[in-house]
Amino acid sequence: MNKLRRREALEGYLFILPGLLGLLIFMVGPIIATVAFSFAEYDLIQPPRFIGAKNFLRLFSDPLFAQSLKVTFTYVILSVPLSTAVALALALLLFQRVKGLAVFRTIFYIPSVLPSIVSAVLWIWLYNPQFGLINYVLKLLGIQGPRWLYDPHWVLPAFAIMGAWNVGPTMIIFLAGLENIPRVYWEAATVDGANAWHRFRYVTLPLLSPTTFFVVVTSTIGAIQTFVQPYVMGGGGVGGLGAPMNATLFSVIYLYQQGFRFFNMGYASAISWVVTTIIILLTLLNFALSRYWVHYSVE
Amino acid sequence: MRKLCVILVVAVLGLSGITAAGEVVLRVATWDTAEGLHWTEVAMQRFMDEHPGIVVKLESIPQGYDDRILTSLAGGNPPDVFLWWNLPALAERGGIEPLDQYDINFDNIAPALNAWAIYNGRIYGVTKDYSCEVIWYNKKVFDKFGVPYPTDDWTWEDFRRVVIQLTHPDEMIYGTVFLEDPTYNFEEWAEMKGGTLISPDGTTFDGYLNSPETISAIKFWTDLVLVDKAAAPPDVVESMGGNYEMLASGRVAMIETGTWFEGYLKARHLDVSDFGVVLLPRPQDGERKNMMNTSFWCLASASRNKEAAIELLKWLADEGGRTQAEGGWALPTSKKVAEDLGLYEDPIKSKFIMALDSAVLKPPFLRTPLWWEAFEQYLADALDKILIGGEPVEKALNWAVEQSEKAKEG
Repeated sequence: MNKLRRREALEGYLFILPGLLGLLIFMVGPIIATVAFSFAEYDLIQPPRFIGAKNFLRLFSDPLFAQSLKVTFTYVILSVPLSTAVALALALLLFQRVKGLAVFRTIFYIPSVLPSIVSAVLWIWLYNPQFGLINYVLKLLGIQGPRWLYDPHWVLPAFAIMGAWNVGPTMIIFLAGLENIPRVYWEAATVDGANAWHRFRYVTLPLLSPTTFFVVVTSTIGAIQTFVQPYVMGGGGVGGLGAPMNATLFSVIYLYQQGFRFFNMGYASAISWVVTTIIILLTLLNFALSRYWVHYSVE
Repeated sequence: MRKLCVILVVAVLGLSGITAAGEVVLRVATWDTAEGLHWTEVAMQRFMDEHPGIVVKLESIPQGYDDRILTSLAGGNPPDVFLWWNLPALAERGGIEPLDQYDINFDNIAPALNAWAIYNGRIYGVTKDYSCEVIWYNKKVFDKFGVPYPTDDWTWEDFRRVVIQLTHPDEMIYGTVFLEDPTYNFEEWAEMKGGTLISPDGTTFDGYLNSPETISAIKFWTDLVLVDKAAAPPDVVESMGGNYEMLASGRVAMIETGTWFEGYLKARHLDVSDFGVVLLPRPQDGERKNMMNTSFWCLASASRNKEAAIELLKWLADEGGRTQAEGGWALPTSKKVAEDLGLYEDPIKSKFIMALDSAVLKPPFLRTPLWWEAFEQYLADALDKILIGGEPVEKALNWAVEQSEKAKEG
């Protein structure tokens, strides 16, 4: 490499150095530390004590860990399809080129601009069994609404519905995916006698599948990491974190509780790595399955 | 240019060295904000006036206090002195130092408060302030239904009768609300019946949580909710804005809580004289017991300025909370200061000071650092099972015992 190229390379590295250092020191460093902690007993005050794979063995016989996996994956199964469907539906509506399109797009996007704590507090009131808007509307329809956040069977659906309200960014991604489909396909389908449903089912959906794939993968990863809603909104009933009756004991909530409330930082690190491994495996599974339903068009 | 930078850096380092030379800087952390913080600042200033050469840097951590202190301990540079309440957790792990080895006079502080600072026979904190559990009642609700105000020598049967009398579902008024905190509310009721939640040495629930005495105490309360329908269950309380809001607006006649309700009223410019305070009722054949809520000033083991920190703790113990009491912010920890300031004449404040004499001396969470992890959550779940799941009290409590035993093995 000649002198100029070398100098340019050096300048490049110097430019990214602050960001790179930040990444290494504040993200990669701690992540490596948690790997070390997961093999130790660490109560935050005394130095960590190496205990081998004990933390991981403990996970197998811990009923609360099993509960946390059940809660987390129930939520994933409820919220990912719901959010994806709602986002797609809204994107299709916006794709109709109606008047005031930009206004609607903004309105649908606003919920995701709110800080999650703000929307959590808002939804606590919406879900209030006595005075909340949701049960009020249900009452008008003659239905006795459930106790939502205070009922172990309804709290996860409640979170899933709240998640579906928050689909702004996903909707925009679907909209972009729709815009990317060449109009010729729809035109050809119409010429061949396809109605709106046929066009959707046989043209739109398959051509949208790369986008759908992206949305499903990222939503799944995000759903497994849910923390803010259960932290702020969980705790109905007498118990604190994870209430009522551990129905909101998401994996991240459980590991936070173990680390910061019970001083078991080593165990918490082990939990976080097991959950991370699950996320990686699920994502790989998603990729493997993708060849059956994702069609990448050749331009 | 380079030379100038080097000179500047050296100068800054040198100057900071000069200010540190003659003085000791103590870092003191508190979770207080606004008015509470102000009174702590005043007290610290008085200390500094009497101790030139020591500078106190007060750090107020309003959010995530526990997490911040824990991470600072993990990082090896905690504040020298900090406010804490869950002493066993840190004492057990060597995060805070026992104070009995230093020349601090604890006699000035009420004995019940010192008892809560003791873990494994050693005392770990200088009490900053405290609250006792009492019954606050809304006089207007009592007047409305023509029920006389309760008196300090009332019994559980009187309490139950009054609660039922004051419950009017058609007007959405409850006599009282279900006790909100398993740790801070149930031990006292169990002890009044001769039971307790956990073994004295803190090792097991078995034989204690499921003892007939404890079961009857817990059943007294769950019956108020499920049978008499006179105590609002937690979900109703939450949906009505919380127990303080309910008491202030007259949706509930009485609640069990501590000193903080007075601050709640003042912040909303409500008239405190519309409310009264009475000590907890005692069982027919038993004595009253009440829990407290305490906070302590503790000394970090990793502190590098221990001598100065001990001077501060000594001064705080001698002061007995006078500054904050004079400001009307909190109760003094010294009974003598309470007398001096005429607090025994105050109809509300006097109750809390009187309640010190019937305080639970060794609450469950001070008997073992594993209370939160291996015990409390199962009791909380059991209470949910009874109230939400409709399970019988004895069955739910036995379940909690079982779960706790399993968790301890893990």
